[in-house]
Amino acid sequence: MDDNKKKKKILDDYQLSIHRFGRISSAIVVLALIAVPLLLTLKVGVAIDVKTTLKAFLGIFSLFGILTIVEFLSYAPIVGAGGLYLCFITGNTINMKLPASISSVKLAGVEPGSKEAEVISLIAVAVSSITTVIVVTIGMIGLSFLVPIMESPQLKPAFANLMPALLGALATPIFLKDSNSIKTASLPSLIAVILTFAIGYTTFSKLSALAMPVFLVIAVLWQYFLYKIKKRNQTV
Amino acid sequence: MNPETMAIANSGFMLLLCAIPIAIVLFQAIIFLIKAWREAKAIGIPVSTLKRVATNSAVFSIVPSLPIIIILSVLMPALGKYFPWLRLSVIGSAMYESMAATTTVKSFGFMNLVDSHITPSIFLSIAWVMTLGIISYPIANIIFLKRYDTTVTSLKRKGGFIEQAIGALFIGFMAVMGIPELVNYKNPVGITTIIVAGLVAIIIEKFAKKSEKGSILKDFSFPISMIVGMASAIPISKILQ
Repeated sequence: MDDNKKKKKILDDYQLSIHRFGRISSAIVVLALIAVPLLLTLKVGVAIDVKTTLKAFLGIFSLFGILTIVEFLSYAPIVGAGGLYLCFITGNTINMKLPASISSVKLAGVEPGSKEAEVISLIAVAVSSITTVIVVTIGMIGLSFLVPIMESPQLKPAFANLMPALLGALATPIFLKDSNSIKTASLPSLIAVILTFAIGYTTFSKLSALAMPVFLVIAVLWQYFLYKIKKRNQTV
Repeated sequence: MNPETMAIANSGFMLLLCAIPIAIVLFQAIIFLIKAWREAKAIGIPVSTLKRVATNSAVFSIVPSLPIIIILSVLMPALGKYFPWLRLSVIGSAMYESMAATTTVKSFGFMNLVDSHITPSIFLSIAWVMTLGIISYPIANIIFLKRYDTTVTSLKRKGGFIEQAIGALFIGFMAVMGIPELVNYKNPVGITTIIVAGLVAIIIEKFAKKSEKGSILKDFSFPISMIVGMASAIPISKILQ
């Protein structure tokens, strides 16, 4: 059986449709994005310092090129294929799309990694993407009056601690769901604690994107170890 | 800021160029939503569940979107109204956009973005770097995601441990992101915030199990817990000052 037929056997019609649409629409967005500096350059008609521009690009790409690989491998199994097409087009993945996906899967009461979870995740990421585009657009048009309010001494501590609040709300019910989830969370959490104290919060935060695949592998291996022990105990 | 550069950055032509990709992205998200919604109904997920998921996601997404407006206001004096709007809506993040713009101007010898010597040529360079620096993300999806998804799907079909492995991935992700916040003693307000948000989430879950009103509250457990956690940072930071 050739490769395409094999792939069709593994992926159902819905998944194939998601990939077809995801690839085509992502390619169109990429072209539309490149058109912005390209058409602007042609319209303005001034020469660009290519050497300096390339230097700046290589500096940025050297980091974000690596992060692309890391985040691609890490996030796809969590948000599903459709979710990842949208995450990588709309951005704000860690602080918005991933939490939206995880909280929605939990809210729907479906098993992570299931077909249902993949579909729920895509709904959550799509709605989150639409919401963000709308909020940012309104912000561009006329919500700039909110800026001094959000930066006021009264409200600043709240927005400065948005991520701790988000992660506390998201992680606590999942970590403490039952004794199994506590056991699963124990080793990755312990390693995170040790690393935070060993290298400092600031350094660990800067390296978190690169540490992510390592922690995901540790979490899976630890879960496999617990799974094997449980199976052995059940057999005995 | 250079008036000539600003005129280009705030022109109608720039608005059109930036609006098109944003409109395409909105269209893409809507189509994905429709496809997923239809499939969800086909596999038997109740519409009521889907509505709760959509509401949860929309309500949750409002608060983390607000700080993006702050970044917008920082970038606008330097890059005009429209380009930051595009960048922060499409493949954007506050960290990346700030880094890409700042790295480019520094390559040209300027210390900050808002410099009156930033000519139209340098503005175009900033636009190129900010666009191309992160384009690898969707390109990775276009080239590799189907193959990767096929591998992951075929592993999932085998069943057994693989279902638990996905759950472990969720936990691994949150351990990296959340645990450092919990033990960052240099930001005690962050520690109390994460604890308060977590406690509120647990309380709402327990309340939801016991009463019908609680089960309605549970739908908004995540955004409520997050906002209460954020709000708790205000008095606690005053106490700890």
